Amino acid sequence: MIRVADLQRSIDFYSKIMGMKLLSTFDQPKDKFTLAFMGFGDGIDSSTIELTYNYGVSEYDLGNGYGHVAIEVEDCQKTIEGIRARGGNIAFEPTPLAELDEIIAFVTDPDGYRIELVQMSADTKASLDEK
Amino acid sequence: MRNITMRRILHTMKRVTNIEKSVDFYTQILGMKVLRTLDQPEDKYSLTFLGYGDETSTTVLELTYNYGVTEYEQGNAYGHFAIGVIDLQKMVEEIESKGIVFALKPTQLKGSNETIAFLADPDGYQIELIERPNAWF
Repeated sequence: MIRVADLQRSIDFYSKIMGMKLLSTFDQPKDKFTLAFMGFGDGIDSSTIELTYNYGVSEYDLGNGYGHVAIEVEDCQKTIEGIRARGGNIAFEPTPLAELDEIIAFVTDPDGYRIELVQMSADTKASLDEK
Repeated sequence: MRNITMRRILHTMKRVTNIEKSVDFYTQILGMKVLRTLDQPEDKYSLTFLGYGDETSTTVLELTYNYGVTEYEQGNAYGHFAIGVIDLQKMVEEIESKGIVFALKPTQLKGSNETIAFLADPDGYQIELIERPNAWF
């Protein structure tokens, strides 16, 4: 769960730019918050991102403890080009990581949270499968 | 515009101040396995991936340890990550028997069939445990 300052802006980002679906929302006017669950799958067999909007809170302190959420992609460069074309903010261009045999890039969401895109090599995937 | 090729959430990363303590917590208290570690002494950090299954099929946790960093600012933006469990009450009792105090004891959410509880990890990151009787597993 991450807290966001503008729920519609975040839903638009995670759906239109990142390609997730809005799975459910839960509005609690009495307690002045709304939850929105976003994900690539249905949220039962797959993980989701929970966005919390607290009515009227327009700013949060991101701190430096929490890092990022990572998303697996088939083709990091192609995905980044798509995100850029749709108006997403690229924080770190696709870069091969020799020690992990991966290509990674970073995008920032509207609140400044970082999202890592990871393209794993077939060898890496095979080695992770064995474990 | 169906050229979106992203597929799934791989992991979530947080920085920790004592990697042994964190690994002990996530393995012994929450029952995860260490999936892989990557130590980079030249760049003074190590990564540890923990989870309940392998990384190719489940979302896992990445802990970053930066050598010598003993404190992080938590801020107030990041909330928590959540773990689905089968029997929340039983799991909470087991964890409590290991000396862990829950920030929120098992509580049924109003208008929902979910029961939730919260505990904190050694760095104070909140973890939610969720039981949804008819939806999962």
